[in-house]
Amino acid sequence: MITHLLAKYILEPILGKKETKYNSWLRQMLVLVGGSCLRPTDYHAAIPVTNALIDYFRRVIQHKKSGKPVIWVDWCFSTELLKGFDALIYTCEAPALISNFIGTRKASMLVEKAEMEGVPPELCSASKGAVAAYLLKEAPEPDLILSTSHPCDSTASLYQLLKYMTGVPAYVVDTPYWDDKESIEYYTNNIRELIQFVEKNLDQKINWDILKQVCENINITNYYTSELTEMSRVVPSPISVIHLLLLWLGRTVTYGSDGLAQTAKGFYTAAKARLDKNEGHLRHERIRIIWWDISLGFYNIHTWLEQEFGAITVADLIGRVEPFHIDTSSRESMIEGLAMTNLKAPMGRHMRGPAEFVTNEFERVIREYKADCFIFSQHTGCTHEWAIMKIIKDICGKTGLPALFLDADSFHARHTSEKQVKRQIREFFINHGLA
Amino acid sequence: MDILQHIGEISGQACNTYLQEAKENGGKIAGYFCQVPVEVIHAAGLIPYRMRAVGSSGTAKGDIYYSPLNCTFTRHCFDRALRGGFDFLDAVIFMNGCDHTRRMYDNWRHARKTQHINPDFLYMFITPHVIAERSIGRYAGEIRKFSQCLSEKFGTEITNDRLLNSIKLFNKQRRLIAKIYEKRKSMGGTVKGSDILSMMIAVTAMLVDAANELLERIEASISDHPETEKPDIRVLITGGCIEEIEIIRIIEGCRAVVVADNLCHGARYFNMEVDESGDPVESLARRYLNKLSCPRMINAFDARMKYIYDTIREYQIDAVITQKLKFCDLWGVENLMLKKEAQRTGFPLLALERELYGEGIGQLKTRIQAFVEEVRNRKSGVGYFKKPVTESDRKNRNAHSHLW
Repeated sequence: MITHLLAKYILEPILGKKETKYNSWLRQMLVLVGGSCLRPTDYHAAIPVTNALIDYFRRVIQHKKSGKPVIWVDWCFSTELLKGFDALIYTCEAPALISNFIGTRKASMLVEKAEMEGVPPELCSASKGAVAAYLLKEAPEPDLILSTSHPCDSTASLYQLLKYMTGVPAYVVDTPYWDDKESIEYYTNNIRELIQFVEKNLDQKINWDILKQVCENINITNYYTSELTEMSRVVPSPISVIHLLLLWLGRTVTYGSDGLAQTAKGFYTAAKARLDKNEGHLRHERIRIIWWDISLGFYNIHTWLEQEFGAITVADLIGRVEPFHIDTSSRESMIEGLAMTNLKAPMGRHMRGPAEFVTNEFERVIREYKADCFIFSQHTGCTHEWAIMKIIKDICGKTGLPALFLDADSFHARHTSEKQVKRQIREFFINHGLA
Repeated sequence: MDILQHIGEISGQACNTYLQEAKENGGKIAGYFCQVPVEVIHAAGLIPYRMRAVGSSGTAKGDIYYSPLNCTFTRHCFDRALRGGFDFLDAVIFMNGCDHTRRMYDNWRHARKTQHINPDFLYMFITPHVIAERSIGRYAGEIRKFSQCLSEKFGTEITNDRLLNSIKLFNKQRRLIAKIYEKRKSMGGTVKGSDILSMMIAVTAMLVDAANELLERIEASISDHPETEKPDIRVLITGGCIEEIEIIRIIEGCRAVVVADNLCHGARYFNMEVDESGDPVESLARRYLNKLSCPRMINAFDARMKYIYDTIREYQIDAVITQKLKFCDLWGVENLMLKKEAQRTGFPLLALERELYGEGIGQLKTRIQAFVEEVRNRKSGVGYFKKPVTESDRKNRNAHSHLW
């Protein structure tokens, strides 16, 4: 009886490719507890962020009931500052990210819809998802739009389009190219002005007490996540990139929440215990990978790599967190700190400036993480990254380590399918004697 | 030699005779990308040279650095750099214009280290992406920093007087170009769009005094070139980088005339003068941030549409042609919104996508011919525009989701 139920309600929906509401829900549940690829010791730690994510989706779905104003933001603008307002924050790229992450093919449908409506095919698929979700009335109607001028032309121009479509007031945070004092001051002034803009348009005052709590949660999250980032240097690595990517996913919509902070702490505690015992996340770690690019969103490639080859991604561009502490002693220090968390966010800190913003961290990772090879997804929408591939390839070349450059769209499985990706990686490992 | 023939020759060369002569006399040349204040370069004693790919025949070397997903302007341009085609430059000033061009700063530095390409002075000039009061100070600060760097490198102190002198010279150039554009408003079609594009490509690669002298001669000569065959379709061309005069000639070959534009080598270059009465640095910042922009300025679509609608009225435009290079996200989205505006107010629009110096000219020709013919047919019928473009149309910035 139990076997029958297990087969019918668990195995068949997962193994069968047929898409139903139940299958989708089941995968969502599994992914939210770490895609079933975390160790059992980590499951408990994943629950708070899971709850925070569920709570976020519930609020998005039930936004009409709440009657709260809706603010649309881009995925590279950390939403923590807006938690000081009584509003629903909606990350426009979330439909593409989440639908991929929970294993559905919805993202490809969104891409299709957007392209049919005239959105240029070269635009990032995450951006296309944002447009399509609005056109399909799957996104809450906005009252305000907040966006940034980084990390790419695709994101910057997407928000011009969304403003044109919706006609609501919009504010663009102008992200600096450099990291010098003037640039940071300019950016911080942008943030100050942004607060005034939101206060004026929502007819609300920012709640500094809530914001202080949010900043404290960010400090906890940042501390543990940066510790986890550093732990991957050890051989065998006590953590998987999946921990970091799950925290990144949580960051995009629940940054500053208690749930995310608790999960980061929980993952750290479990990883630290493994580290103390010189135990790795994998029982047999065979290959260490640096994935210096946006990971593939449409398939949990890392689980497959771990299970199939004992290959662990020890550093990736998105999951890595640089240590940073927000001084919560005054309102000013919090604004300055929040500005810096934005500038230090993944993608933001890498792609808004000169190539060195990408390569310096990459070279440090190469020195410190004892990798065996590199993999790059080469996400189609990241034209700025395609434009410095020669520089990246030269750095890889100097190490003598093999590098695989995929030609994939991170949020659109039809571009390069899971099967094609797997074949390329398998061939790559075999060719270089890694597997 | 006919003045228009002369500018045709200059515009077809990467390094023209004016520049060669200036170099022989010890002149220094600084290549720059869009939105860099040319006045500052001039005040430092250098000749501003708008970066271009004219005459390029391939991207083989550029493709080593760039991928096929990067635009052909950057690939052609960088290809020339790698082949030593920009060795006559003493400096290159890059700008954070788009994802493709901004990376040329990185690639050029890398190639300088590894392949010793010239020149050695490479500078990244940062322009804010939003038009707002907060950006003015930022841009002014960038001008001061840039001025200091140029002064230190080339030994000419950029004083306010020198800057003001340069501002006056370039304002004069803007007025001269505006005067020539003004003549295009008349229905006579006395000047061809292809000649105007040649002129703009030429004057952005010359000493400003020589360019102004040339512009005066062009302005005086315009009435001497009446069109023998009067075109009946008046076209506004807009979009990203275009250097191929051939494309404008295709339009002209369909008995249409390009009378106005929103192009890098066009209205965006001369639109709006710099205030000569205030602090020169702040005046420059205000001009460069508020002038007619391209979509890299994020919050200025309304201003660009206002320009389009005003131009349609003032120049009695019959049709708009917009063109973009492949893989340009900025113009891709802009053109989508432009299409929606065309749908809303009814102006005829053709959107072209192309590669710089690419193949497929035949396809472009077919599309343009068919479009012009369609406009001609519509024009001869009743109800040419769905409704006349009014001031309230332009001001109506409500949601446009109903257009989808």
